[in-house]
Amino acid sequence: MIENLIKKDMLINVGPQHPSTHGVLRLIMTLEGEIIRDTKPVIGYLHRGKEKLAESRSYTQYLPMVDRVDYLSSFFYQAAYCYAVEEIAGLKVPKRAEYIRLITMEFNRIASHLLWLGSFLLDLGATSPLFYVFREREEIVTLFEELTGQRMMYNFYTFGGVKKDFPDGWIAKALDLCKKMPALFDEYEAIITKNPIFLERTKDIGVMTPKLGIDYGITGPNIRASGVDLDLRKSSPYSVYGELDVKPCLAQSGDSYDRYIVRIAEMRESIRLIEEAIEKIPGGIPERLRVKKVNCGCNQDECQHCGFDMQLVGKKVNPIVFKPPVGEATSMIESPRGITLCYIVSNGTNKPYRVKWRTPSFSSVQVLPELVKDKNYSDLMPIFGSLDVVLPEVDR
Amino acid sequence: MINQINKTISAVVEIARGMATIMKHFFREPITLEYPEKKPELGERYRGRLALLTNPDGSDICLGCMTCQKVCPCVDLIQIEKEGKEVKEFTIDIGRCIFCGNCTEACPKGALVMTKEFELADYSRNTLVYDKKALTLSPEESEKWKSRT
Ligand code: SF4
Ligand code: SF4
Repeated sequence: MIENLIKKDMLINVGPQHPSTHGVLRLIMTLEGEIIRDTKPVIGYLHRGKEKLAESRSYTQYLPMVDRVDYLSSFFYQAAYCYAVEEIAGLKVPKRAEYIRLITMEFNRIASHLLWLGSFLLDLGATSPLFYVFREREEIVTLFEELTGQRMMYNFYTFGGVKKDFPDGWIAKALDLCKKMPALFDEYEAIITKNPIFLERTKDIGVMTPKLGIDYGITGPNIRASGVDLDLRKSSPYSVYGELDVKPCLAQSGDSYDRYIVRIAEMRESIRLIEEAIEKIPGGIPERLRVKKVNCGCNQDECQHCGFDMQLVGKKVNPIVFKPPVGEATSMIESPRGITLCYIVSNGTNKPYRVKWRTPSFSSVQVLPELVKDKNYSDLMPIFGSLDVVLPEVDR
Repeated sequence: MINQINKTISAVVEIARGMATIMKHFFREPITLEYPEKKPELGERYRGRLALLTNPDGSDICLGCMTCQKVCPCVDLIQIEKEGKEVKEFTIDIGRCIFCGNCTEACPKGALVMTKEFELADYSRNTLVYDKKALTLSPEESEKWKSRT
């Protein structure tokens, strides 16, 4: 009698107010005792119709909305959208603007990974790291606030460049932060990496084989943790990543622990990239560039101080009459969660005919049932948390 | 058995190392701000509540060209009524504004700015619809905002 009761499958509902996600996701799970037999993710709670909205808004009007597809990595979505529009309209982006984009994007990657680290450990029951990562994230966000005017929805890129230059003193602050960060990462690692409880709960848990990952279209740190060398920054460089020395961070076994290791390594890599980019940025420090521009004033395209590559925007577009020619374009970006794709079809009017987003978290949610199948229920959090799913991005 | 003992010892060492790191935080300065008493210092580019600037003699800079309305992602959020050349009414529904800054950037005259005011909580939605009187700054204050980059 009792055996029958235990054997019987139990249907439980996890979510929608789910602790381990940014946003709301519902999981319908079939449990046999403590073993998960079946999982059905129910998505769509955060659907805001971002793709449809584009069809009734002009290109510029849609620009601030792109930020809200994924509010933790706004810069990446703006970049993907801008690259696609620039491709249709044939706008060229000056080098300096590209470098500003790169620096902000890499900072954004760190901020996003930091938040992931905090929430992941919170799911595992460790509360202190959450406060530590928020402390560090705060510094990055303050830098962003100074640069763009807001802490989360930046609306900073524009078609053909960026809206503003770095404020005075920003670069020095950024470099200071870059110097400070590695020591802080060491601190996290001292707390987490070899902690026996953490190891016990994440090692060999939720192993994603390279084949499984590729079949489900998993990208970003999740697939790199399985040993697949797929990093758009390296393999098909967009922006000015081709000029920098990008080293993809790889791990071998593809379990939750490796996904943690890869993300920590990526944050260190981002710091290095930012430092390299600040060194290489054409024009250098804005204060000095301004003086040089005034002194030179030759207005030739190849000039080192006032040429095309030192500008912020290639060719300013009028936001109201901006009409890209008929055509379509795709742009791909390596966002903190994987490959973000933006596909735009233009029919020659000032509104896009169609905007399509491919978001990496969507794939990560799809692979979840495979990863948690026949696992203990207590493994759900370490697996799901390690995938770094951001729900607004899934539902968009 | 030996394995178990080794594991236990390393576990204890690692936990002690983690705890030592956490203890270090006891001696660091707090970074939080006691908000209502102490206000954060906001950057020059901060995007807060919108405001209209005026000329030194008190007349409007705004032409009523409607550019700001056309670039605003929240359709019909800015309402402008014109009487001849004069802008009679200019309302912004701050409750629906997403503080994106599109309008201030597009304004050909620089008549619209984003101030550093961010405490906009109110009791009803109606009071969040700011009319021209509430939006317009005095000439002295306008001068302050005009010099901003
Ligand atoms: S864009 Fe500027 S000048 Fe034109 S209506 Fe708006 S505030 Fe007035
Ligand atoms: S800040 Fe953005 S949402 Fe608000 S009124 Fe201006 S354009 Fe519209």
